[in-house]
Amino acid sequence: MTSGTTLDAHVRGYAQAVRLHLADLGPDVVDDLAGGLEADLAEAVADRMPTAAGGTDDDVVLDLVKVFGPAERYAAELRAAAGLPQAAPRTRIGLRARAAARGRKVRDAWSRAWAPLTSTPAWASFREALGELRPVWWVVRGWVLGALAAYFVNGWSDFVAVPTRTDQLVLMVAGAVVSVQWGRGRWMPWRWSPRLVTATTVAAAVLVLPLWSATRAQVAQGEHAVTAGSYDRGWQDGYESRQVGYGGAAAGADDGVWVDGMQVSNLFVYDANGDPLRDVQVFDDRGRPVRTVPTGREEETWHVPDVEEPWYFRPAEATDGRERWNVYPLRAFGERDMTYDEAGDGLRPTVGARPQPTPWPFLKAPTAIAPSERSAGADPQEPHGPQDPAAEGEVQSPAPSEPAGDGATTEQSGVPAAPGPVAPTAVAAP
Amino acid sequence: MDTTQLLKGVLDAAVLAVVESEDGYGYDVVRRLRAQGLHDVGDASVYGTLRRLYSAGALTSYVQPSEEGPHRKYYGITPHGRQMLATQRKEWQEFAGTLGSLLGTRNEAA
Repeated sequence: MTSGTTLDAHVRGYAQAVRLHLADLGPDVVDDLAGGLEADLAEAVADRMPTAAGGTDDDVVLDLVKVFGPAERYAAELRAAAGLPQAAPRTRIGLRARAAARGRKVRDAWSRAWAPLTSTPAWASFREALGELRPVWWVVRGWVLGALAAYFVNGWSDFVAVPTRTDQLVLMVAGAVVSVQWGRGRWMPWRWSPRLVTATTVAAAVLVLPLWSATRAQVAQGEHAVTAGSYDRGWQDGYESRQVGYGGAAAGADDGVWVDGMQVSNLFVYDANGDPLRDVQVFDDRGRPVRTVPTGREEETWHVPDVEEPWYFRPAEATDGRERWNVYPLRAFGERDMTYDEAGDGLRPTVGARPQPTPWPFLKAPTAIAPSERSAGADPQEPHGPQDPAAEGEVQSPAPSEPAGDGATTEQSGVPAAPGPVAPTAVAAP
Repeated sequence: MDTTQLLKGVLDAAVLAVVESEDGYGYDVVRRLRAQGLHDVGDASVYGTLRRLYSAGALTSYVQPSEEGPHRKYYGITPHGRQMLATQRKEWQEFAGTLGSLLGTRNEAA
């Protein structure tokens, strides 16, 4: 008996291969037929190759196929001797034929199912009409493929059925001509031309709907038709990169404050030393209060980066009791700290709710501003504008005394002046 | 002449004859057949034949533990097997006699 583990492994592998070729007979028969196969094989090997199996040379790699023949033939011999049927011929050859047969069956069933309709004279005349309309399809096919070619030539922009440029028109007409010639059986120089025609027919049929919807979308865009594609893309990009936004729809997306295409939820003001300022009233060059929360949208939630909960902004209150939305930073309340007032005053913070700490972008502004020497140069556009409260009176003195109109400019620089020396309202400290 | 073709017809009788003299397991039967001169007999053919004869009731089988290695499935002949062997023996002798007289005794290769 051999002690060689290599030999054992080879024997096991060979026996397993033989069993695999008998598998269709069922486990009982396989067991019956090849039950002690390993022992028999090992003994046979030991008989035939005494040196290999003698245990002295464990490393000899035995190719049992050389000794016993291929496992498949061994299994076939077992079957034949045992009077069992041979394995069914490999089905791989018949796969294609079987698929074809199945396809035929499905097609037959399908046509049988529709026979009540397809056997009527009306159907016959319908088919005849379709047949006469084939040239129309030829033109459509060429037109669609011409549009695709124009789309490709233009760097994948402007996939339209209605040509707006000459090159589009030329390509589409050329496509239609070629397609019609194909339909008439002409212009097919190669042996595989019919297959090419089939492929283009399928492609055109698939592309008809996308072309139709793309064209409709561009027509709906009216005067933007030519640039509609890029316009849509740009708008979409802007919308997606907008990091803060209303909880609701994108309607009125231009309201509020935007910086570089991103909507701003809150403003943070720092003084010349870089220290944060609170309750700062902000007006634009026309004297309008700058509101990040547009009118009519005060009760919508906001989503702010790094804050999970949606929140509401609340206005500051002026000394006269009115709400001021241009006082920054706006105070924020979490969604669950808000409640609807029974009295009908709308959304209010619940009693005792504290504003959420609004995350300042910087605890201290990264740069300090040197105080301006020419304190009289009241140019609000200049980055080093005076911030010192003591200078404020002087600063604002040359500015117009009332909110400036469109044309109001300072003499030297031509930039709009500050809207007014004193903000119209004072804000109550919270 | 390919003796494997000849063997096919008489393998049943040969296996039965081997087992009749003494019970044996699969490879043991192969070895004894070869020792008797049937060098071309195929292992798998013998195993298959043993299985078929067992199914036909000509053989009985039992498992015997061996001192070393795996247990062995031994085959022994049944009365039905003996009957079968007797019939085949008779048929073979008649056939061999017929063919012997037909082919003659001259050995041209010698």
